Amino acid sequence: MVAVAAVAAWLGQVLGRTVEVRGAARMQGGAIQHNWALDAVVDGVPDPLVLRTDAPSSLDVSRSRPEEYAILRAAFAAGAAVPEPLALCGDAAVTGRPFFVMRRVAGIAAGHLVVRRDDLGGGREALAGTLGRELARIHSIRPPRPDLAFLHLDPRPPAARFIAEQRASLDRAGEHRPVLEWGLRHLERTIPGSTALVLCHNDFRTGNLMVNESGVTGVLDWEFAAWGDRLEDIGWFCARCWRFGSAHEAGGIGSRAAFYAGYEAESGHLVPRDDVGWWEMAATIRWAVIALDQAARHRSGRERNLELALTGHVVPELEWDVLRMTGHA
Amino acid sequence: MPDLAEIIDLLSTARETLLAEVLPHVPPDRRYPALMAANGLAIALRGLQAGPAPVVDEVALCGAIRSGALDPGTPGHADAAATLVGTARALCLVSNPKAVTLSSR
Repeated sequence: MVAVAAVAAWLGQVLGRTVEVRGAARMQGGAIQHNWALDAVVDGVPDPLVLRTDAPSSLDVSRSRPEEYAILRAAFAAGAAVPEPLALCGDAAVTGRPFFVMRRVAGIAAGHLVVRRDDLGGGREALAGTLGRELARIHSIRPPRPDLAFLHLDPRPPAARFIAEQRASLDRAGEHRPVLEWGLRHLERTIPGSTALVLCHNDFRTGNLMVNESGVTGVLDWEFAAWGDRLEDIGWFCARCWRFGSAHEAGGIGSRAAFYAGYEAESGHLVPRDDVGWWEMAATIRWAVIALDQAARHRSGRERNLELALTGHVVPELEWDVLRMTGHA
Repeated sequence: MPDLAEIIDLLSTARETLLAEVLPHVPPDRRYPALMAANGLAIALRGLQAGPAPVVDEVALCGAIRSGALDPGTPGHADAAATLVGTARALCLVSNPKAVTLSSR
């Protein structure tokens, strides 16, 4: 439970308004961060908010709340559909952990529901195009950015950096997964060229994109954002593992053509079609490595949780996808 | 020590009871955990029913793959690929059998 009265008092002081919080409920999802829906009343007007804070155990690769807050502000300023960030609290005295407060956006995010609907965002093709434009707006954020100085500027090309990072993660965790090694070696032999660095969301996929009948209401979960290749996000969005069983190749929502067209119209950059597959295999491997980590959190006893335990069982399917992509399965 | 068949039967009966007699009465916001529990039992059941896993020296295999010793064109490449497909299929048949059956369509 969050300390509702302490949060209300703090927020009132920061915003210079009268803030009352009439209720707080833990929101579903978020294995790494916890989100609380706050039923706030600001100067007498109901203002639904979200408080975002760390889970008891966090992934090493996860950003801190102050960093995530700075990224959210940059994305909001770039015109991306993100919940408006209102205030950051780094003082552990208020709730015991750093947190920030943002506006609460309405819509549907759950992947298995979104991919079954034909009517969201004005229809599948329209929504795929809107999401392409949305991603392009995020990618309009480029280094150098003093407000995002905490984001590491890696001298390696993103593709080489990706392979090294995944191998290091597997080694650190003591995981021996021959199929993931097979995929990483395949990637190493077929490495594509790279383009200018952009701000990658790094979890831009169905399930993290809140939508309603008219469009996108919020791009959620920014904790993995980093400088990278624009194709990292495009491959992640299109990878088969994020289609939730749907046949539509762009996130289970619409066609690649519509998604790419939206992206190209907004960004002015052509999507290099031949290189997307490389980043889709990269996405599949990355999700497998994260899933192994989540299962290990359960197994270690740090955070006993059935959802984390079951996440370990998506790895074989991802490995099967890798073998399919290398042409063996 | 009870025999494996009895343990499998017990898990299977527990899962059937959960699905038939508990799930219909679970409030909507607890449906997801209930379905996860049923899925966990199904995976455990398939794991117990599966034969022994193929013996593979994963540490050595990982090292050989990473070093390039099993790249296309090397003598060990085809055997390595066959081993990987065999073990991956066996793991899928426990964790998510649909993954293997759907992708071979």
